[in-house]
Amino acid sequence: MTGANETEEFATDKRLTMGIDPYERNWMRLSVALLVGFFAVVVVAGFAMGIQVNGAESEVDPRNVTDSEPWATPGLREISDGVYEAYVVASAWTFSPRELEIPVGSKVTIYVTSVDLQHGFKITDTNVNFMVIPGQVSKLDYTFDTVGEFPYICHEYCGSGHASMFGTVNVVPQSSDEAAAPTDDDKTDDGADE
Amino acid sequence: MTLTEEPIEGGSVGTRRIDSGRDLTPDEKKFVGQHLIVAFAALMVGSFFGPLQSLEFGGLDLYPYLEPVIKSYYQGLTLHGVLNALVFTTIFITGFTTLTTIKALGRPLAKPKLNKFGFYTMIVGLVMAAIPILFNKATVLYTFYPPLKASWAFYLGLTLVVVGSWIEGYGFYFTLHAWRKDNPGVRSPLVALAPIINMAMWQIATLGIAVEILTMLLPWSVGLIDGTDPELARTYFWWTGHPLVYFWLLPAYTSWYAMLPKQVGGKLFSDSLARLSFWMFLIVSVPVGFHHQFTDPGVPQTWKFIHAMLTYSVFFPSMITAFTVIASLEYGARRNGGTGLVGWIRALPWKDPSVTAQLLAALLFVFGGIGGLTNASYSLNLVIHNTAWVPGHFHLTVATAVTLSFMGISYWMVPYITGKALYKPKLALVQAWTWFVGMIIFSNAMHVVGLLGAPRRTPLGSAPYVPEEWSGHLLRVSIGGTILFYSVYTFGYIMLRTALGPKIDPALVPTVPIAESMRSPQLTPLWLDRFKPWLIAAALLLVIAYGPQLVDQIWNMNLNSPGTDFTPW
Amino acid sequence: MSSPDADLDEASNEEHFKPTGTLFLLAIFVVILILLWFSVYAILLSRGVTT
Repeated sequence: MTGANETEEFATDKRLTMGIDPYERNWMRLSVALLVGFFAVVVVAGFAMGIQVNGAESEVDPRNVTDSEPWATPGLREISDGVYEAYVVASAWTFSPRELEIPVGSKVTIYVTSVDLQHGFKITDTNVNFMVIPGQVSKLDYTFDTVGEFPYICHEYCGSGHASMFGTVNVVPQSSDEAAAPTDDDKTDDGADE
Repeated sequence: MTLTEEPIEGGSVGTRRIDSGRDLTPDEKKFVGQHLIVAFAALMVGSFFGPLQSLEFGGLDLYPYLEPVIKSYYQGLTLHGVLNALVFTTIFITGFTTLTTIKALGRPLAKPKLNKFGFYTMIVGLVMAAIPILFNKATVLYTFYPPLKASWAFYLGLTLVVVGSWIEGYGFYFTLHAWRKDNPGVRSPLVALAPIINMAMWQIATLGIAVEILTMLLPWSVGLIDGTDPELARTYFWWTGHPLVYFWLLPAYTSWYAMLPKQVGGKLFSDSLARLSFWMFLIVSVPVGFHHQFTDPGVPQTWKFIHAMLTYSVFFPSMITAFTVIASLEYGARRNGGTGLVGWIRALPWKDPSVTAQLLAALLFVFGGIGGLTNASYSLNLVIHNTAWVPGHFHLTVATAVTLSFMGISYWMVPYITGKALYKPKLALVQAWTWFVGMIIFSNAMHVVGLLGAPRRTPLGSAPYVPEEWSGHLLRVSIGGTILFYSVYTFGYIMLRTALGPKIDPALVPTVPIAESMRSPQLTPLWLDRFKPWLIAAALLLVIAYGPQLVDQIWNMNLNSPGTDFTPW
Repeated sequence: MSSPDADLDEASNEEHFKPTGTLFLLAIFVVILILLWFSVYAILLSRGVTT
């Protein structure tokens, strides 16, 4: 019934409808609905759950950025109880510092900049992932809730040493509950495998 | 020389024989052939490095054996990217567009010398860019992000390749313009119009790298300025970098929409929607570049979000394409006697390597499209940005949807322009299927290992941080890459043997497949056949989507990044 | 014969072809699209909040 009606309407309205097949017309509607749906879910993650990409933070002069604080002494510093800032300087082909020891459960604001080439910064198994660009400061907040070692890897080509450019976030148990020793055992096992 | 066939208005609708129009002259065929020779040579050299990279992932590093010539993995990767993604594609596309323009409009190029000049400009540029790469003076990969500093010849060479493609583009517009003057009121043939829309999009798109190279990289590489603004350079680059993928893709779409249906015995399902999707690509391909910069520190979240939305809109014409192309194929298959809900697929001419290659290319593009939508999805980019997922993704798009389709097109085009028979069609079928299988293995492994956190552009076989967990996937990358290596060289061999074979009876030479539309193109509204409204829309959208942020970045430009005081590669 | 209306009539007499196979394949495509996309989304959600 409806199919016949549609065909008839289709035939009389040809020029207006550009001759679009009714099925294809519905497919186009579905496509728009799908895209709107996906985008809504993206908006939920980005704005309701707060999983955000980094924005425009601040600019520095890559030629002398490490002459003054905070970039002169990169590393982790505690601002208040359980709240930290980490400054990491990328250069060909190393991160400074190469290790960040972070008590589990801490919220860390991570700042990274480059003094020479473009680099990348991704902490494995986390959503911390951004470009590191000379002249710009990349910044993200992240709370480290799992004890373990998480390499941060340079993911932008930066010359012959690129593949060996990485550091490690070492998320350690809070000093009060050091009894959580099993993780240490795991680590030794991993080491023995290699 | 104009089309002297039965004029469209008087003829019976739907039986207009556009494919009986004018064939290319021997000179024109030669000109197209010159494009193909250069394109295939680039593909062969560029593809030589593919397996070297993928074998390195599995732990077999063959680069040391190449040391007298090729100094590093990264030099090989630069050759692979520049030759395959930039040179092969651009030169194949201009050659293909030359053929479609002349054939579908049924007239010679309006200014053949202009097109020749454009082609030779591209060749000069290619040689100029290739020399520093081969001498390890431009190991900067195909994105050449400053402050990695390549030789000035590399930047100038790339500029000439782009300028040459512009000049050929002008030649195509003049030809279309002349045709329209002679055929007032007639809709331009889709096969001619679509690749020319692509060339127009390319002109807008390449303004980005033109400005990047001419105002920043070239002056810097010859010492006129001391430093660069890397964030601004990235914004310029990605103005070009994303529409670049549509520049590659639209000729393949042209074939899928307007040629492949003919090859399977069908018709184009909807002329007007085919046109609509090409025009949509013209306006929305360019203002989406910030989705490559979702994780850049110098771009505000607002602009990233706006470009995420616009990138989603580019998905829409591809959804139209999916419907129209599949329906055109289904129509052909059912006319061939195909039945059933999916059984009709078997009635497609799977014995024709040109068809099979393009069907398999389109099939894998489904997954390329899904990955692309993921990439566009704003904070989802945190999971996959600059991981091995990304090359996994674009080997489904540019290296399969585009390249495997171009191979399929070549299976009729090279016999057509040479007047020779395709060498061993069965081997060509094997070639298409091995590409399909090899790419599934390679690409799936790259996607998975990327999700686990493996960075792209990195010799993972020797990276110190690679966990045991990745090794199985890295081995699959090696296996897939090796199969692809077999496939691409088989393609080169088939092309070579075809070109060297004996001439055959002209009646047996394949013709240019041009599909009829189910409804006469004359029923397509005029606004789907005019450049002006779409070019205005494209300009407006660019001003809105790029204007404020780009002006801000240029206004606050800091050329304070000199890079390293040593050659970093 | 040369009037636009004649063209229309002829066109409407053209094959009425229902692309059922196409619709079926596209339905499969939509299901795969949703599954794969949400699998990455799930990874995103599992890897913590970044602000």
